[in-house]
Amino acid sequence: MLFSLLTVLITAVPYVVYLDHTVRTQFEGKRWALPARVYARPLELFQGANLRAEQLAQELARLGYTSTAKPETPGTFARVPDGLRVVTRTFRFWDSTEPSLSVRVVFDGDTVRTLRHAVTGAPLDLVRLDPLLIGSIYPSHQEDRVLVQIKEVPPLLIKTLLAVEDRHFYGHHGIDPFSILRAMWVNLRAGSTVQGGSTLTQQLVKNFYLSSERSLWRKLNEAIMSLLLEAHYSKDEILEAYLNEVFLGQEGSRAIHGFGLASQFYFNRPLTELKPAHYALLVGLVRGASHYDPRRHPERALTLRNHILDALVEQGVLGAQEAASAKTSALGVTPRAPSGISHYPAFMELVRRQLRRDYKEEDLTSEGLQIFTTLDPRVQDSADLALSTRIAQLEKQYQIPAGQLEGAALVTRTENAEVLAVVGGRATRYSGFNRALDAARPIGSLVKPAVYLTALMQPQKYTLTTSLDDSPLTLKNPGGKVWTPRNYDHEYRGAVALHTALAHSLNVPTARLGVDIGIPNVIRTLQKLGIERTIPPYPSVLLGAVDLTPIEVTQMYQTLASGGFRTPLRAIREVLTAKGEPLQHYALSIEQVIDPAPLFLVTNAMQEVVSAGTARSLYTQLPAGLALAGKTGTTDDLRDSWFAGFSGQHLAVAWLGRDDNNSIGLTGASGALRVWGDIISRIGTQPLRPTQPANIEMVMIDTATHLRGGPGCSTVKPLPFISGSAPQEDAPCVSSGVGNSLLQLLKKVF
Amino acid sequence: MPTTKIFLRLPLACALAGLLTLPGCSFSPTAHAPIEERSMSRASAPPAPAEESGATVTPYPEAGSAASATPLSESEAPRPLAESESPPPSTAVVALLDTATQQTRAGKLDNAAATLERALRLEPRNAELWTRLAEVRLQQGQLDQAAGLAAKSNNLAGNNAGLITRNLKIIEQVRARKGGINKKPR
Repeated sequence: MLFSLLTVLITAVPYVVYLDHTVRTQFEGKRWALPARVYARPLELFQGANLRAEQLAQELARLGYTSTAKPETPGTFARVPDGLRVVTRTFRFWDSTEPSLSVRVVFDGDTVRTLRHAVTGAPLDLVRLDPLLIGSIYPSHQEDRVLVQIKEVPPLLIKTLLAVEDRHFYGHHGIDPFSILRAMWVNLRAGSTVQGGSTLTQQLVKNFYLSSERSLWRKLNEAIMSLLLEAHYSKDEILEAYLNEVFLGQEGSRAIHGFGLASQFYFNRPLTELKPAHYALLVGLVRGASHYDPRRHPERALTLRNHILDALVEQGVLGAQEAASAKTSALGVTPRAPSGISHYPAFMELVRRQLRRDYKEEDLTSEGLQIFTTLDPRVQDSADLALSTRIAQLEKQYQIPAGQLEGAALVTRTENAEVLAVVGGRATRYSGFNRALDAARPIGSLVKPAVYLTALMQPQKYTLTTSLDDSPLTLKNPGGKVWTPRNYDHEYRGAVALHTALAHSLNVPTARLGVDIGIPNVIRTLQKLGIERTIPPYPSVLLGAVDLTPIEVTQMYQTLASGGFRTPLRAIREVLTAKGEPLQHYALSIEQVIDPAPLFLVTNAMQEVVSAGTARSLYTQLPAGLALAGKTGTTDDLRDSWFAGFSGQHLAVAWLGRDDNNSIGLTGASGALRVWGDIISRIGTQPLRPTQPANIEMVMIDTATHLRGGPGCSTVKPLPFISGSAPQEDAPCVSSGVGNSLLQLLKKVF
Repeated sequence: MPTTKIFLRLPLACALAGLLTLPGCSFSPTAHAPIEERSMSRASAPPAPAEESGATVTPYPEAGSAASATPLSESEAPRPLAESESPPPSTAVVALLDTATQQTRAGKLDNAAATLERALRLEPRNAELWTRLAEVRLQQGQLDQAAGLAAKSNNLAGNNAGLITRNLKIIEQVRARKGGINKKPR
């Protein structure tokens, strides 16, 4: 007898020690692989901010704020006659924690007039809303969760959970013999397993350490491990692990674990903003997230929820009245799950690529990093809609086979190169071929500003009024092949002013100019502007026979838009650890690469592209006061339609074409320019006002002769010149007209 | 286009016209804006199907005709200098500048830089902010960044002599620290 007991002990003790080791290492180590969370930029509220009341309301709706008559708790808001009242959520940012505030925002059209504390009326300088979660980077097995700490979990949720799943949780030591007996009795009477007697601890152990096989051996292990877990850890620690581990839903291959994520997944709100009926539903899902799926089986889910509410009344957790009113409420589940696959797959792809430069894939999918990006959901939504709508319209108008026309677009901020939106194709919600990042296509005339900029860097030789030769031209490519560039309209104008040649995108004078100043010099300018690809020094490069992706074009134009300062495009601002500790700040980096004076000149000519050149149809759609600068691009046989342009606030690049590279029959102006105009008119922007460098003078030029204009000349135009380079000679028309000019009058008087 | 702000540049256009010959210049709000003639009258036609050519001309104002005091289309008008256009910084930016100052004093330069970048998101054309960021980078020994940011500030500073002096000092220090190598900040 003693011997056999000893035998059992000798074999059992090491086994229990082994189980104990397993329990402890896993519980204390990293319990879960947490996907990285990717956030959009937070919306900043301040007096003078460029924002309309409905835009703020839209942002709040995106964030899952609830509209209510009297906003009092975080995550609620109300429209009031001149603006909004919002109770913001607490959120931990890179630099500080933004506390929840009750805010009154008063609007004056498209600006925030005042920002005050809604209760005290004290003016507030700056308030940051919590940022929109735009996606996650998952590990391969796609288990997803948002960790919660027990102290931030609403007590009513815990009471509800315990009332339903483990009434004696705080009393037992891991197993609850009374529950087991009761379950056995119930199951015996029913003839099958209808009730489980497992404690939360057992359930956790089962999920954490054991397979789902049903055997006595497993049951025994489960029991021992539960006792061990309880011996080592406090009830709250075990409960917290349970709250984060439990499986509560499935979406495709993504498994929804824990109450933190389930709250977002079903209600698009944090746990703290839920009501008793919501808690009852979530707790009900513990029994069978798929069977009671409230989106697929709403009746089943409702019945279960109401049973649970009744049980809560029986156990004294909830008052009868409160339960009755909860039972009448709808399930409150959002129609569609906030997709684990981002709404913004094209932007997410850019983020992922930038992250991969600095982080291991494994860290991105397991460390729970928080990634703060530059995405502006409002701009992204506008760009998505603008591109898909316009593409459909153009297909009809130009009889392009339906579904064949594709496109891409990017929007950035001119001064800091933050990427606000990336559209990778017409089906904006689906990831797939990301044309914004990967479709390298000939850029056509988009290259021309670099040619003219290179010329204007030599003010002694070239100014905006320099006469360029627009007569037949034949060039030899390195292979000896003869190349005869032609203007789009196949006309030759003889001589044309430099600024006019750019504004009207004339090919022949551009090619001749490029050869004169040296193709390698033009390529050097392109590199300074930010093109990293190797460009072969062929003459055809001068007219855009160089393949670039829309994002490369964006980088190039970014430098033009920011006054000659190159700043690498940025999609990420900060990376934080799961605990909110700063890990990396992607700093604004800037380098002056182009002298401001020639850049000012080329910008002026690019404004003429829009006011009077190939892009002038833009001002049928946008106010001319925006003084936009840009360039159209069209490639051979109308295969690619480009427009790149900027205001004082935004740079946008749009491309249209077909994936099979067939002709689309659209020029830059008839295709991409329309998309560009749609995007900018949806997002609204600030006028372009380039700062005039000190060595620039404005001179009135007679447009007929390109000499100094004056009274008597029928048409003049103010043009910028680098000091000392303006024409000195007066045009023949000056003072030669009828003697009614003031100048003449003055001359006579004095 | 609800969120668009349009800045009329009548005074400037007028000042320019004044440079030439016109002493008097009327800014009547009704003063009729741009008179433009186009050799091709397709300006308001649907999208130009081709990248065609054309010339834009502006009739020169007849002397004495006040109505044509603004012969320039807005988009063609030269730009005013920065100083005359920069409004006072918003209270939000002032608050962020205070924070950045405290962070700099406490030696938290990374935080100060992040704060200044946040301010720049609100007012990207505020030259003072670029200078402040340049000064922080200089303190951190990020010389190229300091020079680039100072140059950027100069680009936006207009006539603000005080700011330009600060920027030039930064650029000088960068040069000195780089061991007098004749490297122009760029």
